[in-house]
Amino acid sequence: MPTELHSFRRLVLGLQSSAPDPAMRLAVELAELLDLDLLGLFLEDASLRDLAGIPFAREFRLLGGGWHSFDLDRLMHDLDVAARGMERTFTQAVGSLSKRSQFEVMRGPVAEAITSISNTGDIVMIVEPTSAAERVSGQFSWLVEAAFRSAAAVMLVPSRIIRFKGPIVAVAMAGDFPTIAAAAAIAVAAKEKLIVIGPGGWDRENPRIAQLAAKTGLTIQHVTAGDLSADSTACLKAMRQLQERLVVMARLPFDGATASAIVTARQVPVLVIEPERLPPGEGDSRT
Amino acid sequence: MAAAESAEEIVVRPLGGDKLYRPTNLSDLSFSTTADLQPIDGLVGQTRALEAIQFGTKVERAGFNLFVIGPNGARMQDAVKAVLVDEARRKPIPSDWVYVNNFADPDRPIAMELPGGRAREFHEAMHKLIDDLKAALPAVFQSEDYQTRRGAIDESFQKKQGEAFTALRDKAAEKEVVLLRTPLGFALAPAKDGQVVPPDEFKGWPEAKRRQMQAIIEALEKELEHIIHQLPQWEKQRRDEIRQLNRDTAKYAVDQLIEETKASFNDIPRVAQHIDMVRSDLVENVTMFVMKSEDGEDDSSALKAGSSFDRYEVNVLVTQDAGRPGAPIIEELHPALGNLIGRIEYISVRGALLTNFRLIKGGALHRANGGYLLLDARSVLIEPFSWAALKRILRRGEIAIEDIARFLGFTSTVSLEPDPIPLKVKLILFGDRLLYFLLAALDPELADYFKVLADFENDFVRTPENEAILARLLATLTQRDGLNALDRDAVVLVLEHAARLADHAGKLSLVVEQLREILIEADFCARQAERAVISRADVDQALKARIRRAARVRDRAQEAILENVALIATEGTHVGQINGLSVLELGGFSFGHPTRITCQVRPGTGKVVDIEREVELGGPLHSKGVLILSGFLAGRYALDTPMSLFASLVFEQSYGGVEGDSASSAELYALLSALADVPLRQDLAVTGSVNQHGEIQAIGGVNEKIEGFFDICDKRRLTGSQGVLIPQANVQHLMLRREVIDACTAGQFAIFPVSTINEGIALLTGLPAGERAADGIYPPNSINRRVEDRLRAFANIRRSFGSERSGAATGI
Repeated sequence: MPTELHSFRRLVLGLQSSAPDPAMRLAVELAELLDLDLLGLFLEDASLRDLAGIPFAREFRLLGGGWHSFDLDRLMHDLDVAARGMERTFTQAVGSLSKRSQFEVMRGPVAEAITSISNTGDIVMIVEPTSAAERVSGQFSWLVEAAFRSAAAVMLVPSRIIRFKGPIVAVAMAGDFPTIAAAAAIAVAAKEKLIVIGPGGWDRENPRIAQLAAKTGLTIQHVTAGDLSADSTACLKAMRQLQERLVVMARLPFDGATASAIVTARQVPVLVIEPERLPPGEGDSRT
Repeated sequence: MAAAESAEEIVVRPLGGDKLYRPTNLSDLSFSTTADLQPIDGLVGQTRALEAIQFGTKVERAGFNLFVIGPNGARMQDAVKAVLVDEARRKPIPSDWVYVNNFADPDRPIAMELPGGRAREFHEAMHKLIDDLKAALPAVFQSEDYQTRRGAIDESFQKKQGEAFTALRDKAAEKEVVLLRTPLGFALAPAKDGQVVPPDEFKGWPEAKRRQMQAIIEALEKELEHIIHQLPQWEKQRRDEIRQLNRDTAKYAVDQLIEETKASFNDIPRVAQHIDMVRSDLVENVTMFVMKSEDGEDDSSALKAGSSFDRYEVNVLVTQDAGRPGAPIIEELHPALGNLIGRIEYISVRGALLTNFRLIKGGALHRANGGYLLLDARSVLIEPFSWAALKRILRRGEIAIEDIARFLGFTSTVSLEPDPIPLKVKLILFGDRLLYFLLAALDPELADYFKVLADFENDFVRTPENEAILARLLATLTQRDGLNALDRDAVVLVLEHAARLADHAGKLSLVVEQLREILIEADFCARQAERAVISRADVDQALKARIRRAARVRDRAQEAILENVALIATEGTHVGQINGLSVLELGGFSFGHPTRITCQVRPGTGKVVDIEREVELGGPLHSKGVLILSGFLAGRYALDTPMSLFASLVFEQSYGGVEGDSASSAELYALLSALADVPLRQDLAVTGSVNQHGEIQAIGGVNEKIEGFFDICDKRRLTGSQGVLIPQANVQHLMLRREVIDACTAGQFAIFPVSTINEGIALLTGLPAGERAADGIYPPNSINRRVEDRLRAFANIRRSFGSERSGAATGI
């Protein structure tokens, strides 16, 4: 049933310097629920190699403190160690999914790496770094920008996930059935309730929601929200009493900033999909 | 001359049948079966012990514990318990004791006293509290309210950090610099269009531009360093705020539950105080129960046994049944140290041995505290450390659980030192007499801790009243064990057997277990014969079967005699040879066994050689008996002449140890026969010890000894002349088998009660012993005369031999 409601085929977990264990578990769980292949992608950004070539470049080391000059060999070695460490963590986390999982290291500019590897059947999962410094680092900004520019859906994951159980929330404008269908796919697989946040009366006008409920046996609850397109305020207000575990929304009219604001406020993952993405048989999909 | 010898020769007559067995007299007791008798509870015939037990159990002073001693099988424990039941019922219910966690020092769990029967309630209440907390705490910590407040703190922290770094990033971006994450930290790089300037391009920049960029980056680096240095302080503030939020939230969640739990125990201040400590601990450590640690590590990775909530559980060490009033009476059959004083158990977690207050297990002392603890002394003594620990606890007056493995260095893991618990128990040790006397001699502390001795009698006087009491005791035993009732004749036989067990026709054995065993076996015989009542025949069959089962060695010994492998004559006469009697006890079964004793004499230095002693087969009592013979000879014969005798005495064909002096009279008869050169009758056997005056003294096992010789004679053929010489003092002990009595009554066998050596030697030789006349000389042809003459002859030989040697030496 879940595969009939979405057209995702692969989950790409973008890995940089760190990946918290809960995020890793979430990736594995989602891949299992939606029957997806899982790709752990370690992004070794080329900018560091460029930086090492600049004569006065140096790094501030968190452990031990102080400024230290770059040594290219040492830098490469450290990146290699980080990649192998990440691979080990990933392999341990995937467990039973190991046959459908893969780990890759990609070198080069982050943006190019994401663009080259992702396609319409992918969900690119990006885990927010714990540290604010990392969040403002060039690599993270380039990763988020590249992901949102790509054809793939993007899942933003907070560094600390506060809930692993609870309803799936779809934030959908009038006519945005694909968002609801994708959220329904996850809700069915996770055996959770589906809550649709949207304009008032929209569900009654849309017979497909009723059909979806009948077809999946899902309990679908509708929460009316104000002007959703403005910013995240209306959205967050509508979610206030919900105990959701995941939010699904479309890239338009929402943008990465709205999704990021929801992640920060709700501390739950947000899946941002292409607005025109439709389940098989529901319309064209960009394959 | 010995004072005991009478002036005239006394002819010893065999005992009549009425002296060989004393029948039971139940004429005053009207009953047809024991079902008609009123059972008897408590102690029978143990007035002295009862008095001691009643004193010992009532006196409430340190050290006044009881040591109960008596024969094995007296069922002292049952008897004492029966006495204790009433006493215990009058005592108040003792306190319950629990161990709870010591939040300040978990290695020293706290012992808490509660009114009897309340511990379980406390345990259940705390368990319920924990269950409620397990549901309530996560719920409140997942509530929107908490998450909002927590989010606000995090957001504020993130905002502070974010603003600082965003400002730095924006400032850097303005100056075309980008912040980069490196594997070990952070770096700032010159950027163009948001991307790091490639090195080749950078090198192509004019020198001034490169220097300017370097200066910009150095300035930004200082700002980055400043922000990073502030992070720990911000993080600490965040943690403090979250900790306070968690405290407030936990307090809100637990307060009502705690108060509800506390309400039931407001009458026990110690419990209420503990519950308050639980509240404080919960509030302080709430994160342990509801969330993972701040760094994302799962708490379950820590080495610990059980869930985090277990620290609030209650370990009920001992609890009383509130519905059953009175003090406990506990009997610990396996008083190993742990079973006695309690123990600390460990569980293995990832290869490490861990423990906590919940793994403290109570011992018998805890269960008996406030009441009585019954222990078998031998069991306590054979268990390593138990006796010493018991004394230590009695000295301290409190039960401290000791981990002996730790003292011995067998375990090297963290252990506990639980609070000791005040001791208020009456200890009652049971043991046999030998054990008690040995312990009293070897352990001076025994008297400090067991000041009251209760000594159980082995038997009591056989009066019609006491026979009636014992009959009622039989009724009690049959009722208690669900056995068939005994008819009147069966009771009679059991009581007569009780006299035989007491080795005294005038006493009855109080070794209840032996009587019980007979009843069980007789009951088995009755049931086999499909009889609802145990008859005399059943008892008789049971008694015979018991002997038959145990008598293999006896039968083999008798077989050896009958086949002349072991030489025992039961007819004819022989000089210096006599049938002695001994008793063998093997595995609780005793039987008499005739042994040939022989003697050889010749001139010598006055020495009577005990061959058993020479080869170290004779025990000290046996040797003493033989040495008395020398005294007897020296005091009776040839007082004016040096003793110039060499005599050797031996138990023929005896290959084991010989102990006791019951054969000393037989040895003396053999010696006198050898000296007098007068043959002794071989159709008689002899038992009895003798003193230096020639008086025959009582011995043990007289019934078995008589029956042992009778069996041999009977199997060979009773001639009518055969019999046994026993000490006169042993007549009162006779409770012989029916066959022996019948043979004696029919004149086919005889039991001769003998008081002196003179009486015995006359019987054995057919010659008078002889009394000294006024001239101090024994009558001619009397035994004594012949002995004295022989001794003088030996003296002369020795004297003449000495003269010859002396003459030869001087050349005469």
